[in-house]
Amino acid sequence: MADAAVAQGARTTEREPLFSASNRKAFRDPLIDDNPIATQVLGICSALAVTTQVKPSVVMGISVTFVIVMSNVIISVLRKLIPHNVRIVVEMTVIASLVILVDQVLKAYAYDVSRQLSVFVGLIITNCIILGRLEAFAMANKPWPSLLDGLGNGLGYAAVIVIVGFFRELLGAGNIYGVQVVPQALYDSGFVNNGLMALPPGAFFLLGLLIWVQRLIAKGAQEEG
Amino acid sequence: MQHSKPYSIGFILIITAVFGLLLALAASALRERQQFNEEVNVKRNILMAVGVLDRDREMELDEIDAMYHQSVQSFAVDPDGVVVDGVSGESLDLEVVLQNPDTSQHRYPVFIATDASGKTVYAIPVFGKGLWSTLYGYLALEADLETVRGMTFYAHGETPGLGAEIEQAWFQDNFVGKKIYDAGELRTIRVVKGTVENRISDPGDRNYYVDGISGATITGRGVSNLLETKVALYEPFFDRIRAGG
Repeated sequence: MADAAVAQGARTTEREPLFSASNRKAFRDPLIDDNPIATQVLGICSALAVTTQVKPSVVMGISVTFVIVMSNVIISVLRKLIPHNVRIVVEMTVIASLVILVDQVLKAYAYDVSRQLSVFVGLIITNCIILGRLEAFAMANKPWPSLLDGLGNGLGYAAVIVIVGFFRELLGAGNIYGVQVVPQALYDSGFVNNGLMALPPGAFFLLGLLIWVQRLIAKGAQEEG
Repeated sequence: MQHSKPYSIGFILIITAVFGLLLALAASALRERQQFNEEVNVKRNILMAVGVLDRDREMELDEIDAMYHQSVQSFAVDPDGVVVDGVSGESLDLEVVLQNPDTSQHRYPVFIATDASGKTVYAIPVFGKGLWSTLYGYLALEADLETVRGMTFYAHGETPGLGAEIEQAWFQDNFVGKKIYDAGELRTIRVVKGTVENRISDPGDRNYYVDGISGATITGRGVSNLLETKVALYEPFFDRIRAGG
């Protein structure tokens, strides 16, 4: 079993500390430097669709994080048992089951948000970030680093959509988390909400600006030339 | 590591069984709560249609349920418009009722509430085909039984951003104050292409048209049709009330 799997990251010989350098890296990198949305430009579809307000963004972020972490851990635990030729089938089964589970729980305990998110909860199944992490990380690493990697990627995704949702709700509706923050006096004196922000193109502009900022902060993310 | 074919097949079977079981358990454990949520959502729509509940108001589901029981009553009418004793409106699903080929057995649900001036307002369920899906909603009428008090859609599967706009306040508020009767004859409200102001020149006629949704012509046509067909079912009942019932 001396394939590329073992070579990367996880050393198998001695017990490594819980928060070793490589484990910390697995968690930290996807937060900013290797952010799934901003750097890898994955999961854009849902990032545009659900970010009209903060609340659905938060719920979506939590849901995706849950699905990434759980599927990363499950696949990592099973990685030596999974037959290589049907691994994608197994991965999709795990992801789809977890997403359906999330959808059912939201329908029972967060009905309004679940109506707002509508099909986009189900579409977490096709979110490339998740399958990407399973293929790139969980199939080759132990459960604990996989959990950290999933958490990092999930929170990296959540951070971006919550930031986008924050500005879209603020500029598009004058609210934050459903609470009006732009004072009525401002509206009375002629201020108008920016309707563009409530529509998907608004998310494109914000996401572009966000990626710009992220490229300034993240090391090595600038493209050559 | 190379695994044998039987191993792969066995592995997939086990994985499928385990996750299938997990989902079945979750679905049956959560079903009751989900059903409650859906019922309350319907009640919320009735409350919004009759104007008791403000559209923007956020409320706990339990509160909505309590408000509904406090302010809405329901009963059933037969195809001749006679009130049938002992049948509640909530127990009837109009879509199921209409599937019965024996029309004399039909019972149509009616929901009533009282407006600010003490008059009775009426809400009836409406549903019908849009472009992709069936649209479900409620139409509420003022005490005169010809002026629309409110219109809501609570379930549909139309295209987000296009047909799904029927769920938006601007579209539903369009209907408020429009008429469904013209000189005693049923005349349904039509959804125009574009805005009523531009399309309909006769000011009197404007009472029978609402602004359309660009990119959702067929959904709009569906809305017109479902209003026409469902209001027609209740016409005998409305006639009886107008006659002094």
